Amino acid sequence: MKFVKKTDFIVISAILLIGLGLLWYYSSVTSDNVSAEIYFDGRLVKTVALNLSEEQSFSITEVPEVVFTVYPDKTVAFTLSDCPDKVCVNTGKIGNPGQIAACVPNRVYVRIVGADQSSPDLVIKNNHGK
Amino acid sequence: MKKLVAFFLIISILISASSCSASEPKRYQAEFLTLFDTVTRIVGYYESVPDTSYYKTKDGKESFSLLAQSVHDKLEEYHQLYDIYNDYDGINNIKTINDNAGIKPVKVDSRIIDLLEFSKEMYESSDGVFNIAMGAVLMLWHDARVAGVEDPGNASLPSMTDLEEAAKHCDIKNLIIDREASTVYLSDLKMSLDVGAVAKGYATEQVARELEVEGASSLLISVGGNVRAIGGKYSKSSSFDEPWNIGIQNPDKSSEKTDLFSVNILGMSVVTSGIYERYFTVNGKQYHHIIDTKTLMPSEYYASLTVICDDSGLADALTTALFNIPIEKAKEKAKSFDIEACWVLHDGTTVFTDGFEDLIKK
Repeated sequence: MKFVKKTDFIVISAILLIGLGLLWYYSSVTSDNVSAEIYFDGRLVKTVALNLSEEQSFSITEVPEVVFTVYPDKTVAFTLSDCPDKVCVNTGKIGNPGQIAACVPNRVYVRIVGADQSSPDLVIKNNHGK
Repeated sequence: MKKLVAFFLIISILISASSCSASEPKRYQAEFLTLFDTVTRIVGYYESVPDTSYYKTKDGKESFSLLAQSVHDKLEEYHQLYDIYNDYDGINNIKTINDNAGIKPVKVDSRIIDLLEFSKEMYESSDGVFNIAMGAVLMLWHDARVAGVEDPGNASLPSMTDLEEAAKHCDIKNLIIDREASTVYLSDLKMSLDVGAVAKGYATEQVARELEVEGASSLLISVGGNVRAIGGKYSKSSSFDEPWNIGIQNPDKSSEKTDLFSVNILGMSVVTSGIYERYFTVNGKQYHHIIDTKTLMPSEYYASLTVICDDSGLADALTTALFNIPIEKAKEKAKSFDIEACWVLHDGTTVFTDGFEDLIKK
């Protein structure tokens, strides 16, 4: 009796190929895709992929007064808000994993997520409150 | 058929082993917007520890969540004590002190006394450039900014007459601290304290020290732009001795480059302050929030300033103090405090203290 039959070999190869294919698929979807997570009151309420070919604006039902815009250059920004300081709008576009923009009065923030290993642990800006 | 099943098993074990690697610490991050009118962020690395008593693993995420909650709760106490805008049941805070200016001394928690004494020392060592007794002046700017952002068409500056009148009530000698009795009294009726330039950093420092005493050895806390690192972060080669990497926002927002550079720190503080986010516009000119104690107008020297040193409270206070003096004097001052700093001028030029560039990630 042969140790490995021809059919066994084919089946094993097929399984390995499928496995490798799956691994490749997972690594490509997790490393390339940068997305924006929108949190309200500490809760994740929406995730938007930053891969749109056209500019697009939207709101979340929790705070309809706040408008976000996703841009084709893979960034997102607060574009309208009814808050008193407009710090969220002044923050401008963000798109690097780890960056965040927040509207503190409206209890909403956007966080960029993605598997960019080279990003800093945190990016900081202006330390002064109101 | 038996062989086939065996191969499936082997492959699935291989895949799960490579994708989970249960013992390796993972990065966790938490944010909350409820404190100090800003964003608090916490970053830590945790591993799932096998809990042998139940023969299951203790989740790394669970461990991190517990710590994040503890950071939140500690910071919240400071937030309530140092608040100048809101009252809290059963707590005398800085607003209570302001409300009782010219009326009576207020009995307060020792953590308020500590902050105010530190701030008084900073007033002396900054030759009066850093002054928490500027509340009356800062309030005029705050109100003008809020009104100007709300209704840009009618935005206007506070009048110089009002500013000069308010400036008469900014003498820090009228802040009377009695540590024995644990009371604070403002002897000038029209005076008020504004600790916005120090409270966040000071609170962050105290909380970090409490956590260190409780055994925390690797964590990054950021309250607004006040970053305080505990130890280093995890990496495969260094275990928990890898420096944290902190990106500093480019004050030039029209630039493609969103970060100026990033710095590497091990158990230190980084604080940055700039004019590019909190401002209002009158007749086409932007007026930001860092007020020069001499001119009573927004400080004109720099676009941003980053300070690195051990103590986050000192770093916070110095981002205001060193923002309000010209560059040569500012560099001397930085030296006398033995801290590292980077000033960004309006034309984008950066000026560093001697040791700063060594901290920049290559």
